[in-house]
Amino acid sequence: MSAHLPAAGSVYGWGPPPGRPATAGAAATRPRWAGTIAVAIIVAGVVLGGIAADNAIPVPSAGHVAISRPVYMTAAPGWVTTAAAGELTDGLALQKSSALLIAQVLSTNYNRDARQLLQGSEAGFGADAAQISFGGERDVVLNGKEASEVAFSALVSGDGGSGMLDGELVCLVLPSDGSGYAVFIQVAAPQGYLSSITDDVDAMAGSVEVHR
Amino acid sequence: MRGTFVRPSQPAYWLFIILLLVGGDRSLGIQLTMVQLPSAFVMSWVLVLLYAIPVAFLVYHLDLFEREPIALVAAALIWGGVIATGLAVYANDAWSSVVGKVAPEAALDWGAAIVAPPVEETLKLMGVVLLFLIVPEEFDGALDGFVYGAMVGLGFTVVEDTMYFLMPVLSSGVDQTGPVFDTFFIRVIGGGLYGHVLFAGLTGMGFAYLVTSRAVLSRRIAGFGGCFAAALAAHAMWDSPILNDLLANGGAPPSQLSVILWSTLKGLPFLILLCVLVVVATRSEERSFRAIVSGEADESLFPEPELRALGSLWTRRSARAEAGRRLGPAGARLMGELQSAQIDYALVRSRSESAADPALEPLRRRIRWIRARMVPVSGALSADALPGAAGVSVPDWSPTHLVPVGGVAAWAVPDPSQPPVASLPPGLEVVVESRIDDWALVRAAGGLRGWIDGRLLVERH
Repeated sequence: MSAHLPAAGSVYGWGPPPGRPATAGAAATRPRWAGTIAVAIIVAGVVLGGIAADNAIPVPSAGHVAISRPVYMTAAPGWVTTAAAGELTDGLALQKSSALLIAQVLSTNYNRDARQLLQGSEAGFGADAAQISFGGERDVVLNGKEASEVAFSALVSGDGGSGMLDGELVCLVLPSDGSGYAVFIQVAAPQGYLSSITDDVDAMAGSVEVHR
Repeated sequence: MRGTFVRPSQPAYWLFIILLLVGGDRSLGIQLTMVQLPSAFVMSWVLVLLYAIPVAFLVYHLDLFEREPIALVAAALIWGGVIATGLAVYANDAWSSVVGKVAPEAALDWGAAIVAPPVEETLKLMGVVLLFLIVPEEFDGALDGFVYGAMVGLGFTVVEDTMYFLMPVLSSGVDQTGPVFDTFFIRVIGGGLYGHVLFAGLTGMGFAYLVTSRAVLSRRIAGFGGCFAAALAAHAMWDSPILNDLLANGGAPPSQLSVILWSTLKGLPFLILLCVLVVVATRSEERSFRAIVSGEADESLFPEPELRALGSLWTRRSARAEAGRRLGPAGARLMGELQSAQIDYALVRSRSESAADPALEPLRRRIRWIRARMVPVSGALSADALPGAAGVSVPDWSPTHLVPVGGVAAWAVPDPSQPPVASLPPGLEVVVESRIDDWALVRAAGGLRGWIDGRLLVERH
């Protein structure tokens, strides 16, 4: 005994409602060049248009600026001084698009290393963050200078940025007469944008120097 | 062939492929970088899939009367997760830089709100448009656009979330999962309902309304424009510093409750808007469904209670549960099959010129077949003693056939995978109540019924 359950047939989706002519076979298979070209133009406009516009506008730069004399930093292309970070009694604020970098000299006679400086700074960082989580600390060499850095992700409300931010803390100790200048750099950018500025941050941190 | 995504004859298909290569190169590079931190990478994907799988299931099943082809749903996910995210990385960087140069003061707090919504919503929308250009016949109403748009948004958010989860871990170079959990709380627990699925669902719905509605053009354009504007507003609201004061807590970290409140206030109004639009679109599809099946001559295929039961996921589930209570687990399964068959019928009928289309007949038989299997057999036929059938009335006993020499086996349901429940003796007189293919439902004296091989019956003269 056999049972032949009828096949469901070619069942895919609704056709037009009753009263509306079904799409003719020829019309369904006709190449739709106009729409495709329009999509290509829009996508190119969004992506290539942005790149072209960015290239067309001159890149400003703050150049060689003092964090706190005699400690200086060279701003990477696109980074300009800003007052967005509020009143910094002893430091420098740079901005590139929606990213903010704040550099400060925390001590002029620091006698520990960059890792210890970072650990101390990290502990007091993020007071106005609703949520903050740090990655692992790591030691790096930036332009021949030993530094320690850590990345973070935070939900922040306060001066110097609001919303969900990614950021990085970088600490350097620049030798000076038996002790050193403790330089603390904090960077924050809206989530997803940090990767576009990390090279700039490394370059700027590596450019920090003491002018005698 | 309907529902097939691979259509080399369509230029839109090749544009999709080209952009997949462009965006995929960037996306793949990011994933390969992240996989170097295996614990955090795996944890990120596990967490994001815990969110994405139920959302995908819900979105897919919200389209009650037309489930979209899986190939197209997959294409939508790929557009969102690979192409749109990959292209958005380039575009967001460039436009953010432009805004930073032109309006540096606005860029700091508002840069993301200014740049990301138009860039990302446009790129996601283009995915829905390309799908329409490749397979236009699958866009039959606003709800289809919602499904494809939401799937594009889901793909986008899955990949973006994993990038965000891993960003602090990646920067540190230390494989750890703590930051992954923290970001998961903010982005998924706090704001999972108000992200790209919502934004792209709105734009997709608006686009489908534009290209499928029979309203006048100005109204369709207004509908599309309204949905797109709502998506931009929802996205910009999410990225903006508006309401961030709610997080202020006197210098102390706000509670997780306030984070959830903050995200709810930012996103809930737009989520409510989307829900209202989905309900309206679903009602519209339900009306179309009823209009389509109302032309069926055999009214027994679509009784009103069953039409009502098809109206929502909940009523469908209730109908299956009720069938399960009456007929056991098999009854619930059969009710599910019946609902699917009824929808399949309407799908084919909607594309048929008339109810006489031969393609409909197998579907009618399928519905009858399933329904017949749901009729409880009142007792088992037996060769030597037909058990009593209390309560079964046999008003007109007029046998039409005889069981042939050698007897036949009888089944409770027309399912050869089940064991027979009885064997009928040769010469037994029966009435054939109905036939489905080779099966015959026969009734013997006393009202007992069973399914047998109808080809073996001998007609009674």
